[in-house]
Amino acid sequence: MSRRKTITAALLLLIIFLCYYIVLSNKPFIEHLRKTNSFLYALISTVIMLTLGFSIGLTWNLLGNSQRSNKNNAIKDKRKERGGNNDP
Amino acid sequence: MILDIFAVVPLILMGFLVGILSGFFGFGGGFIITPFLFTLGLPMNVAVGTSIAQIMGTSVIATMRHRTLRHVDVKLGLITTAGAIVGVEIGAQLMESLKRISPKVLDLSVSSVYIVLLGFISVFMSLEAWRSKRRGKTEKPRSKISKGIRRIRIPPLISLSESGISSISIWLIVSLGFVTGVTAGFVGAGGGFLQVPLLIYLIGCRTTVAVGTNLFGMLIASIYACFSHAVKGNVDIFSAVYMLIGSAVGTQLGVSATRHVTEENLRFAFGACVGSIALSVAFETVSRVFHVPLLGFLSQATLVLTVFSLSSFIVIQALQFSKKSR
Repeated sequence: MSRRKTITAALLLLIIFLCYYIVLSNKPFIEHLRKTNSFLYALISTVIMLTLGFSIGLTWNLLGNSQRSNKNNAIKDKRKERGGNNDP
Repeated sequence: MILDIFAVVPLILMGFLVGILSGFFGFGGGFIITPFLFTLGLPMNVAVGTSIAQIMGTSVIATMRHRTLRHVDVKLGLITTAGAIVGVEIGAQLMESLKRISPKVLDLSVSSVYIVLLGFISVFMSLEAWRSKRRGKTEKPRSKISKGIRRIRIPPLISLSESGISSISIWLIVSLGFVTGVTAGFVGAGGGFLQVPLLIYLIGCRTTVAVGTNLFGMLIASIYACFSHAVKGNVDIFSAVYMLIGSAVGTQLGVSATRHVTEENLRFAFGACVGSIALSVAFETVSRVFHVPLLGFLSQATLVLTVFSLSSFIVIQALQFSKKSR
């Protein structure tokens, strides 16, 4: 389960980098939009920030859960080993 | 390309440092970012709008984190937001009317509000934290104040189970949201540095829930505020996007450090941070009005020194905590 979360987080990171690339490579178009169509510029700006925020937030949550799962599994493994050593 | 790097690196760095402070103190950081962008040379209206856009992105990240920790009272957040949305539009319209009179009048007005508001909060919280430390126990002024406020029983009354409040007038919460909304729309801030203390001291909310709920309310209000300011041409989306890169990482560090600091020290540090920002804005305002370049330099130095020293302190706390936990 934690591996799936790590892969999902990696895919989200890819999406984040892609979003940044699309935004920054279309700078002249977006600047032109700011001057000519304020409503569309406002809509695009809001969507960009929300998309990036959600993607980054979800990535952190997945990575955090993945790390916690790994730690919990490591603790469980240690307990099993200790339990095995204590057997008569 | 080299020119772009000189423009981009300070934005990412400031985003990172403000993200640390945001994660630690629970605010969006607008009252730091707006003066920072202002000192970089942006007009005040663009600094305010861009700051709100950055706050929106950061609060999405932070709210998602707090939600998993059950620090978000959705009912409380939605009601404060209802008041804030009305307030934000009034604040933004007020700014537009001042902009039409004169950009200098606008700059002076917003700067004055910053200085007075941040100065008051700084003195109040620093004194309260100092008294608490001196007496050796945590003071609870919020108990007396919030009890008095809750005596106002204008119906309808609601209960907020997540915040630990059995009964309170809905209009108190709407008013609180309205006040923070007007501030947010006018100065590009008004989230944590105003709403968190109001939720704790006036409503009587638990601190962690006040922080998480504030971020949730700030998210919804900032979506509307960002859109409203962007339509008016007040948002530089590229600056906001660069700052978000830094704040996405910084926020996580700041949140980790909160587990290692006492409540009194946190409030004292909050007061010190806010006071330094007020001083920085005061220097910049006087510099622009009386044309004294030295004060402008002093303003930037104060801001940078405050952000760097507080962020370093917080990062050291976070690293010390992670070493101890290993």
